[in-house]
Amino acid sequence: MSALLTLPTALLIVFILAAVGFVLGRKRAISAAGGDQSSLHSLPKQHGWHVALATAAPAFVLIIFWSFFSGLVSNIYVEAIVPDDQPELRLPLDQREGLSDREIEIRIEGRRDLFIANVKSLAVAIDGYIANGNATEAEVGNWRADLAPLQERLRADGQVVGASVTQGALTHALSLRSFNRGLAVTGPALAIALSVIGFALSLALIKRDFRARIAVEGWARGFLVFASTMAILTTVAILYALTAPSLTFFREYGVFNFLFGLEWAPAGDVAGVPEGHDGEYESALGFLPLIWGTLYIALVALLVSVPLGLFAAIYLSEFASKRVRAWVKPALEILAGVPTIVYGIFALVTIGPFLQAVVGSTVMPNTVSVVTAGTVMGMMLVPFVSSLSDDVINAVPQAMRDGSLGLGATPSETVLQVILPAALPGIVGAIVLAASRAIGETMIVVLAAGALSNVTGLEPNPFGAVVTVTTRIVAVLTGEGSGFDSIDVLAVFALAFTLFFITLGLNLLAQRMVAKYREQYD
Amino acid sequence: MEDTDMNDMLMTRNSVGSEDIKISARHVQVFYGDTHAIKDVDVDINDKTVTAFIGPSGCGKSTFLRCLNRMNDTIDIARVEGEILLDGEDIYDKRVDPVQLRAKVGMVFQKPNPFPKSIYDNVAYGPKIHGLAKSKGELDEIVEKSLRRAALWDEAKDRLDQPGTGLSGGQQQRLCIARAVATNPEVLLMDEPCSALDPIATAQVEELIDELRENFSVVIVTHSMQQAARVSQKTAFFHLGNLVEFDDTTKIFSNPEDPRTESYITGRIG
Ligand SMILES: Nc1ncnc2c1ncn2[C@@H]1O[C@H](COP(=O)(O)OP(=O)(O)OP(=O)(O)O)[C@@H](O)[C@H]1O
Ligand SMILES: [Mg+2]
Repeated sequence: MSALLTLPTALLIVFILAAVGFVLGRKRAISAAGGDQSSLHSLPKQHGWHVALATAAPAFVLIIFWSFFSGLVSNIYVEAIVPDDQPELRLPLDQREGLSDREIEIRIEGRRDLFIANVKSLAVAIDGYIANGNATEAEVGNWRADLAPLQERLRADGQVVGASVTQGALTHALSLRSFNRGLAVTGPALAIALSVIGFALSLALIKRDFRARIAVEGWARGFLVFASTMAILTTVAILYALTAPSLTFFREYGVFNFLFGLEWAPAGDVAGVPEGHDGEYESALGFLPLIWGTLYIALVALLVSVPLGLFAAIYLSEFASKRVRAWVKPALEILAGVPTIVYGIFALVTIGPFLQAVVGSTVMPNTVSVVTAGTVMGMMLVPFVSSLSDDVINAVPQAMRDGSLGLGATPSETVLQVILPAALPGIVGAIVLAASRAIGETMIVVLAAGALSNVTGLEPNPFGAVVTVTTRIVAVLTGEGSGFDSIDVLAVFALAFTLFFITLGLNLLAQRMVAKYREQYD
Repeated sequence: MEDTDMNDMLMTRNSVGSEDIKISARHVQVFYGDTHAIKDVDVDINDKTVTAFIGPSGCGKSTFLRCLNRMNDTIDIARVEGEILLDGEDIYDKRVDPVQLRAKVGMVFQKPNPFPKSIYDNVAYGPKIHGLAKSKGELDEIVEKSLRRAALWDEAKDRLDQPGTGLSGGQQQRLCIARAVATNPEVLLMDEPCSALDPIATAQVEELIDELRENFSVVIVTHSMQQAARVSQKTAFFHLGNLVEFDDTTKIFSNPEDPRTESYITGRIG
């Protein structure tokens, strides 16, 4: 029974109930009218909608929030059940030597975070193990950590487990699992209850003078507000996911060491308690070489895409005949739809070797380089820049062109002296958006920029290989060995966090510019 | 009462212009896609003369005006047939460069369209493009003279570096007039130049038109019978794409041939 009570089934029940509610609500309204439809304040259809919405909407919102926040609640639960005197959290005496109280405290905190992460991943692993049909719930309840090499058993089944599975971790994992099970059933049950209440109440409300039309308007507005809130909530959720690990990393490794470090060399195998503090790690995790590579490639990409894209847009909107426009615009848009991995392959097998043949292998030892990735990324951005610029150029009123042409200016003079200045803020906005895409672009650079795992210093040669923020995130997260709470992985969160703010800043800048431009003509 | 006013006005300005023909249009037809907007129109525009186009809204006045400097080229679906001669040369001939033509035949549009540039740059735009000023001083002079002629100097002289788009509608229209005058065209086409102006500015623009007549020919589209009577020597009445009547302004307003003309100027159609 409880296995059936999941969010999807709840959703299905709610929708069926809402459909039934619509039909019943209509019927009831018609009979309330007693043959005289005009005596109703609202149409029967609107009464039907009101019942349907009152049945479905609150339950629907509850289901969404439940899926969002049940994870949060279960996190709070684990934090609460792990006591401070859990044996696994104690720092061995030999590791305390020569450390200040503050440093010991930080290490213990680190051990706690790690332990909790272990508990959570163990719970997930057991879920997977059962789902694969290797054990039943009842068997699992009797497990003991030392009974059999539990860790091996789980790993053999393909489950991801932390470094050490202790009895304490197992106990907590099991109680976390039963808590989660409860949570998983409560949500759907609540949703169904809520929808039944809505169903009953709204049906009872149907009378001649009930203002269903106005109530339905209210539901509609609420729904729209909700939809727009979801986008904002997603951003908040992303930030939430990134913030905590990033802050831990900044505290552990030092913001300064990270932001101004000239070396990137994750040690790769550091699973377990972070072994140092304030930069004393086996891993060197400096941000500068990565952002250098990122910005260098973005610069090349902009040098390629901005002139090409802008000229294409000017040609299309000012000079091309209708026939040409009808062909070229869709072609450009198709180019915009090509998956970036395809561009990456193109860079790797075509552009890279071509460039190497042109400049020689002394200057360009590898086919992967800043220019390889940059030019191809530039090509990828051409349709992006051109279609955004095309929009802003088209938004310049025809009267501006007429005014200039009417004074005896040539089309080129008109473009250069009237249209581009008028469209400039919008075009700059488009360029900034392109820049933020270039910075966040991943697949092309993974294939075409270089795959060094360790770098020191900033590569000045445009034909040299570099690493970028995004490629390092991919490398660390898909790499072998790094435990999920190792300093390397935490560093990756910090990278994503920093990248988030860089692109967010660029997008805000672009929006402001476009908005400024809009004010001129509206 | 209308009639006496009209006659007074006709008396105040000398009613004959030059007899030299500047523009001669023959069998002009304009189509917007399938819409037949101008139907077989013949008109002669005399040099050093003000010619007024009148007629009800949508009858094709703007369309015909735009033929005279080939501004219809910029509308994809517009097609012009027939012959328009400027100083004896067909402006729709393949060898004619529309850019050069428009430098000679300037235009003030129905809706004010200042560039999003400073007032100064708006007026200096044409002279700069055509290299009319050899120095900054000369350019300054042209700008001042043009703004004065468009009756905008007093209001604009202290804010020449501010955007032209920040002016009021009427001021913008006068800025566009100044901009067109600054390039020294031989023919000036004005599409309802006073529709956004108050009576004082209107009088000033009419004065300008009168002054321009000494050197150029001016074609003006207007919905004001009084204005047509005041400023023009020749008047053309358009109706549904046809040129119904074209004659001396005095003749049109005192003794029109066509009954449609008469009913329009006395306010019965339109
Ligand atoms: N760009 C265009 N595309 C299609 N049809 C047009 C276009 N411009 C004008 N027309 C049509 O041509 C006819 C004449 O229009 P035009 O603008 O010349 O009239 P008008 O006499 O200047 O009117 P108004 O006094 O209102 O300015 C109208 O029927 C109009 O709908
Ligand atoms: Mg018009």
